Amino acid sequence: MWRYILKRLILFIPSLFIITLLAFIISIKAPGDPVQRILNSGESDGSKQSSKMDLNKTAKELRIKMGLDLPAFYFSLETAADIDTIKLIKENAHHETLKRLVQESGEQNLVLQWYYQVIQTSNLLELQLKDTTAKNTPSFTEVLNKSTVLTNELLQTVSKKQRTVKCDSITSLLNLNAGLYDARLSWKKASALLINIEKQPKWYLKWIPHFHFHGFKNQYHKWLLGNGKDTKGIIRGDFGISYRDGQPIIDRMIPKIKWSLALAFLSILIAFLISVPVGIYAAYKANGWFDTFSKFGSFVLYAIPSFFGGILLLVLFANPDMLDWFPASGVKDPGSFNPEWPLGKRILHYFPYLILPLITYTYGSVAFITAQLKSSLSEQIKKDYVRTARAKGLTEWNVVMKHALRNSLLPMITIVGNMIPLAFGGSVIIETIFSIPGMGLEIFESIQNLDYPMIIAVFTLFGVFTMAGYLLADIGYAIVDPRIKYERKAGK
Amino acid sequence: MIKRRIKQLSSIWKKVKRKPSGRLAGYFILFLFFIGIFADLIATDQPLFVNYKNNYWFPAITALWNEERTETVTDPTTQAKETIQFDIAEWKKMELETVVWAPIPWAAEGPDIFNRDYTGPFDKQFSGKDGKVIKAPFIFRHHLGTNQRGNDVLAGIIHGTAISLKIGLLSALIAGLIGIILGLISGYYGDSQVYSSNASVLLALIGSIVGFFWAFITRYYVLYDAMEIGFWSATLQISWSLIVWIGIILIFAWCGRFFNNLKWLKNKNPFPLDLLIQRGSEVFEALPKLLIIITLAAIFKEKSVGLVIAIIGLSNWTVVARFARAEMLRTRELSYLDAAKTMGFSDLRILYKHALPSVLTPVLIEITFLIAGSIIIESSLSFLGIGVPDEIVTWGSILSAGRQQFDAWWMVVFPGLAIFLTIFSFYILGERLKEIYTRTG
Repeated sequence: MWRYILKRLILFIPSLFIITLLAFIISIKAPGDPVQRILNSGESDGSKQSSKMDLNKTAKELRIKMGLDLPAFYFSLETAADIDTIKLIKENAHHETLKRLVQESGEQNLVLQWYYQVIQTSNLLELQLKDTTAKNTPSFTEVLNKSTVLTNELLQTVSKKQRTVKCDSITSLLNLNAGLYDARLSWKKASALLINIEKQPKWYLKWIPHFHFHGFKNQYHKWLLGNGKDTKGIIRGDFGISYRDGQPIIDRMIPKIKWSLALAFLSILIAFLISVPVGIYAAYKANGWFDTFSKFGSFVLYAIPSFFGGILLLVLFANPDMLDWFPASGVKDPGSFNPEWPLGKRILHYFPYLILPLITYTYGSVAFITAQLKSSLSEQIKKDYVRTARAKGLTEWNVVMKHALRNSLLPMITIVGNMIPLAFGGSVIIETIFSIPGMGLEIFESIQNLDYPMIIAVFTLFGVFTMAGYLLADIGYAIVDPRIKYERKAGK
Repeated sequence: MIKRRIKQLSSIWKKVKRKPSGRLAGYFILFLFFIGIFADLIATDQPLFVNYKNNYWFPAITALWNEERTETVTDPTTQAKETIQFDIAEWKKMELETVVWAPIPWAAEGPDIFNRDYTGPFDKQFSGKDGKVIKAPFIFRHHLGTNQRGNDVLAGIIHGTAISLKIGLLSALIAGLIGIILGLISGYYGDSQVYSSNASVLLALIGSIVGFFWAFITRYYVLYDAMEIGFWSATLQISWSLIVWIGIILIFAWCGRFFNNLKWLKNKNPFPLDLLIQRGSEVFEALPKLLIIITLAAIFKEKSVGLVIAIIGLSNWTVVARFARAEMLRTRELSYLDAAKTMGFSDLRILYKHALPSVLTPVLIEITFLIAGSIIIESSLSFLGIGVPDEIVTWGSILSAGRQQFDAWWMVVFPGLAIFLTIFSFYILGERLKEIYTRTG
């Protein structure tokens, strides 16, 4: 058994690694620039008035502080055609076009030459435009304007078709007009370069893998373990700061988790309290009226999605037009609630708010647990050892409650194990319907606001808790049930 | 082949029918399919048949393939020309000589200006005729009320049926395909049936890196552009990449047989196929699906039904795989498979011809429950306003709108009832099938 548990624990590690890796991939592929998001979130509450230069400088500093200038992972796999001098080009908007051209042609130098040639053309055109001594006619100015805009657009065009169209129109614009000798010459050079590039002389380069090893100085390593200075890494619970208000994720999470945990715990407790006796009685009187009724009832309950059940309860019991028994949303009355009340009074205050959510939370699991318990118990009751126990003359109570029930409770371990992540994540739907300030609502809101650090934290923690639940269930099984052999049978 | 399958199905249906619960559930599901398939003819604001100024049209039927059909009509008396675009024409206001309306003469998204702001099923309902507002005739009544904009709830529920069934069935199909294949493999081979030489394992590792490079990194911009275009082209390109990746791994592993000059390379060890699939599915189950859906929705930029189907299908395969594996483990012990092995049949033939039929039945029963589960997920997602595009009316989206206005109980009760009855019938049917299967063994 211990060998099994050890093996299971060791297998837990790669799965954990994969989860964190997936979360990390989402975090770096998430749309939007994290630096900008953080700057914006700081701006909304502060009243800093900073010039564009300052903002650019802080952005640069923040980027280095967050480690975004580092390579993403321990190693990287690139095509031999990938361009590494791209960082030197200041205009971020031009990177994509250049990367694609290099990727297609494999000719880094040609592409860079072409790029600078186009830039030079555009500069020459602009010079002509700004030159006040040359008396440009309005039509000439228009041509200049048009071709300057076109050259700029050209550097942001990714598709080949559009590139050709734009190049052709620039050529014709420049050729139509006398003068502009320098620009035309420069453009001619650029066109010649582009023709060479489009011949794709080194097309094979993109099929050749290049493997780089970066060592520990990478984003993933720092994200996972911290950089040793101000961040501690997710392994110590540092998920960064929220895009919404700049608070640390973990500080936002803890008060919310409390609600989800409390609700889940109460709900599991109630579900077991109801379904265990019902399940036992139904299995004991199998195919009797109670069994039929409980089976039907659990199907009915199971077929009501929680959002429908929740809203139905609200419409029936928290509606001034029907029965106004319970408050419709939230967990407390902001008017009369006082956080300094003793715990007992606070719980009493929360109580009416929690009844409807608890019912919604619980009815599905009641149905599920009842059905599971009933099927596993009725299977046990058919077995030989139960017949032996009966033959020994034990009372029915003893036979069912002591012998059969103990064995049939085993699947419950799995059920409880599977509920662990739920306790952490709460239920998005129920918490949204009843406006309970738990993790579920937090998840939903962070999704709507694209608060990626929070999403990633939830992603990682949810994965970890789910797998920990499986692990605990498996280990619990191994401990409780000595019959289960976990060594695999040798193949026949 | 097909004849035999039909015969098998009809014999199963005969057994299901023996109990009233199974019969009712079966008929209800058939009814749902009927509604789902013909939703565009049952609830549409275009007439089924119309005679307008000596033109005979079937607007609702032609709309199935030509939505924006446009006709030019010449008035026989005044000779005035008039152009009618079928999908935006206000048929209810036109002077039609003969007209046959659909059973529900409303589209899911077609506001009725006379009955806006939550008109209940029993409230007074109006319609316009010759510029006057009159009490609505029975055919134009909204039998299940309207929403704020005056959309008919019943029409919404009917069109929602089509969407729910489509998503439920197709995602269960995806989950079933992946789950059965992986479950069969992991149950049949286990951890000790496949032997691979060290050379093959090493080469496969290298192959997985190189294959990943050729499939995803070289093709990075192709994939990127496909994602910009839309869901289906992205699916096509991603699956092509996956095929390339897996193919290269297999080719590399196969090449391992040529490295037989070193004893260590030649050593064969059992390959833990089962273990890998098991752990892989565990990781898959541990991913929070909702977050993934949102993230993918962010990547794909626009919502799409295909995406929802793919995601629900991909997140459910583990359930099917678990069942298929358990069934395969049971089947593996049976003597007829041993016989097939002794006869020297290939693994593929044994799996496909001998193991699959006996594994399929219990797995298909499980898939019945899975369809119900997928419908619940879909409606929960639409309830939260995620996944299915906003312009498509679903049960979940009607319910979610009803949440804003508790007085409009019909927007909560009826779509909720539709979801409940659908899921309930699938459960009852699945339970009945299970009962039949366990009895006959």
